Amino acid sequence: MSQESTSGRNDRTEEFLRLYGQHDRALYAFILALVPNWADADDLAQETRLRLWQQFDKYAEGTDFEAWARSIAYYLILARREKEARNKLRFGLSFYQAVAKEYAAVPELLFLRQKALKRCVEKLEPQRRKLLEDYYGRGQSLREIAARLGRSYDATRKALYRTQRALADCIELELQQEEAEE
Amino acid sequence: MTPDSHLPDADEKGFEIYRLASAALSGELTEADAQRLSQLVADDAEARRLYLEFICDACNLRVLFTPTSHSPTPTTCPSTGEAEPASPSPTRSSLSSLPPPIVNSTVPAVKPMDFPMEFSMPSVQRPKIVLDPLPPKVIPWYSLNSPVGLSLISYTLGAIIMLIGLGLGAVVYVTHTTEIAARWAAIEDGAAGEGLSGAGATIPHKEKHPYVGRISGMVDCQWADPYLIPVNPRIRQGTKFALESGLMEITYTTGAKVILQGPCTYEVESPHGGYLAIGKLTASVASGQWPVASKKSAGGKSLKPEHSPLATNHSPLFTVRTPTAIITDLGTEFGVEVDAEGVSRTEIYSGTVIAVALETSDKSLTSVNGAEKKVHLTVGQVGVITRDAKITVYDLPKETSGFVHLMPSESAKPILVEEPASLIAQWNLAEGMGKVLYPAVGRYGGRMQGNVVWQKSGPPAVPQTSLWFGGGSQGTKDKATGTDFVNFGPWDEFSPASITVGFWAKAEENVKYEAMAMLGKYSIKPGSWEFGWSLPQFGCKLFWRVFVAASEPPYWKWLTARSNFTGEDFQDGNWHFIAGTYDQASGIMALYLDGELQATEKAEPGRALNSTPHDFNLGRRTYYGVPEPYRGYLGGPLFIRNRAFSPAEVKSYYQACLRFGETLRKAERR
Repeated sequence: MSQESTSGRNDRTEEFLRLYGQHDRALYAFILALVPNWADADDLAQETRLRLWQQFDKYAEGTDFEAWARSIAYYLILARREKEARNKLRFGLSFYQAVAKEYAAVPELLFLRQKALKRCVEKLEPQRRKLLEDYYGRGQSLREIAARLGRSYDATRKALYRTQRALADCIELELQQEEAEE
Repeated sequence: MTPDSHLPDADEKGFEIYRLASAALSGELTEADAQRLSQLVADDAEARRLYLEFICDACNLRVLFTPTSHSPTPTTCPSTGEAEPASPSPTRSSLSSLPPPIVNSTVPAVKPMDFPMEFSMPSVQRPKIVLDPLPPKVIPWYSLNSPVGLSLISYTLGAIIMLIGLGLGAVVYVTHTTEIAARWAAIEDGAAGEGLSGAGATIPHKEKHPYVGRISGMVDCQWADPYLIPVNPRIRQGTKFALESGLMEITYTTGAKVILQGPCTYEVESPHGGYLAIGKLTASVASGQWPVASKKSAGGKSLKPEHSPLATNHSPLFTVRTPTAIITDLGTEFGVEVDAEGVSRTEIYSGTVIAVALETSDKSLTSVNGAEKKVHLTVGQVGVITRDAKITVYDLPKETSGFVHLMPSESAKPILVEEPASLIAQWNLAEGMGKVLYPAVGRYGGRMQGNVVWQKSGPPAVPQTSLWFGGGSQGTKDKATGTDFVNFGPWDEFSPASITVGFWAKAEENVKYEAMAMLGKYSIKPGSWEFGWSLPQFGCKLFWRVFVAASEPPYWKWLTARSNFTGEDFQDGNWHFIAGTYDQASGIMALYLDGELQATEKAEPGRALNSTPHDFNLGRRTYYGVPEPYRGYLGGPLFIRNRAFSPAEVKSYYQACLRFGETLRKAERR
């Protein structure tokens, strides 16, 4: 391999890493929306990353990397769905189409909500914040949290829902305020 | 389906979406739930919006509360681990300035079997994407298109550079050895008339670096150069020692013994001698091991003295080279000392020695054959060779000159790092400085990434040093993005069919343990093997996981042995020895802690460990998606063997480490 081609490949690798580093979180959210399971989404995210690298020669510089990456992820997800024909938990094709369309329409949704969410979490009461932290941060199940709190599973689930609902309302307000200020 | 006629009101709808989506995320979705969620999201725009908001919030919450634990770590490059600028967070009002959104029509109702196809995006200029038919093509690991393949290319280039270096080194080395051989030939030519040597007296140098001896004793050893700490009792030709203080005894395969006295620097140049750059040594051949006898060769010339039949190599002479002299022992005992000026001094305790002065201005080590430049020294004599090649001979004074003739009986022996056939690789993590982990056994070095830090304390067997992993690139406890690790590359040898892996680890206080990968050869499934801590819902327990071949799709399965030993137990301030085994014949895997069996799992007998070429890392998994990087200390010896140790062997190894540590502590107390 000539020095020139090695250098070119290194540049290409750096370009891939740069683009992927910028978009991987949004891509992960897209995958999670289509495959709403942490473990499966992890696997698909990794599979997508490998496929992106494999196909990176076909990516046209200057075009929308995230859209290109989403399209590849989308097909990988559909391919996996085809393979899991016997899986009774798989969603209908219309689910994937609808979610992909919705996500593509507002690809900034994740980042729009990110800042606002951070501010809203700070406003939460400590016990509500602890609930979110246990569930999302520590990966504790609702049953574990319910057992720790000495509450029923349903009550804990509703408490978590109310917390997230309050958070969602707060995020909406924050976004409206932000829009008004600008 | 008309959404409004079948869906509940907004709050109920919101709760239902939340309930279904959270059940899906945690893997608790039922078949009916799946159908319901699918229907709701597909048919109702409001439900779809709520669903996407929930997913985005879930992602953001997970990142917010566990910035180290999940794949959406946008500020970290997947391969380099270097920080990248985060994507800007646009505001709603700024959306108008963004590229046109991807409209609904851009995601066609694709049948996967339509591949390959173009994916057209009318509103955004897109590259053509050609995807392979199902199932997705597996990227060959060696492909340039594969990150692994690219890594391999990098390693291959590195290996080529190293081989070139080794080649140059070999040339230099052979030349050097040849010069010594020439020196011997010159000595023997000169001594031929005295019946001391004969024809064909050359030194059989080898292209490779074979084992030429072993360390047979150490007392109070302190090392001047951490890169030259002896980590293997068996000594290869070319091994250097830099002893700051203490004593170390080398027993050559020829039977000759050398006692190095710190401070000194000595290189084992051949099975027949070495180079003393500075310091003091005593060389000897024990009585009966190296009987001197002269024979006549077929050519009528006298032969060199023969050595003991107990010795493995046939070598008649033992030579110590110094900056100013070559001192050849003819079957005796003598001491050599080199001072800072390069002046060499030799004392003869028995037998005869030939000392030849070197012209130090002549870098080629060409000898001076004049009679005044070579002298025979006999028992009770001292020879001093200066830098200007002058040799002074006088009688050995009565007062002691400080040479050690015998090692103290209690000298510590490096019992830990034997090299049986099963030992694929061992690292002692004893360097104490630098960015490379050098192998004590094997040929694979590790490169430290991020901010892995050397510590000045370690486990019992290697008490002077160990590695600390902060997890994150900053080496802080609260920022653990998985960029602090040691990478050894994707070598197949690290995944033999059966395996034993052992290492030492220690926690620091107040460290959370949430599924941390301590070390292993694991990337995306199927991996090979790894050690770590299980998720909190599994009790943060120490686990050992292996991936083995299976007879049914997906043709691999993993086995996990979880100890009752938890992260909290781990934070007791002590070093712990952790070992895992997998035996192909029986299919049994086992996890050990401090020599005691903790847990076992069993696979179908006969299944080999998967050897997919993932990188072997200390401190995290290969891929950064679910890294949960390790935070704490790792110490040596860390070893990989190609067979499963029995419980007794694991225990024995652990106890040997403790004994070795105790011996070292005794030596320190002296």
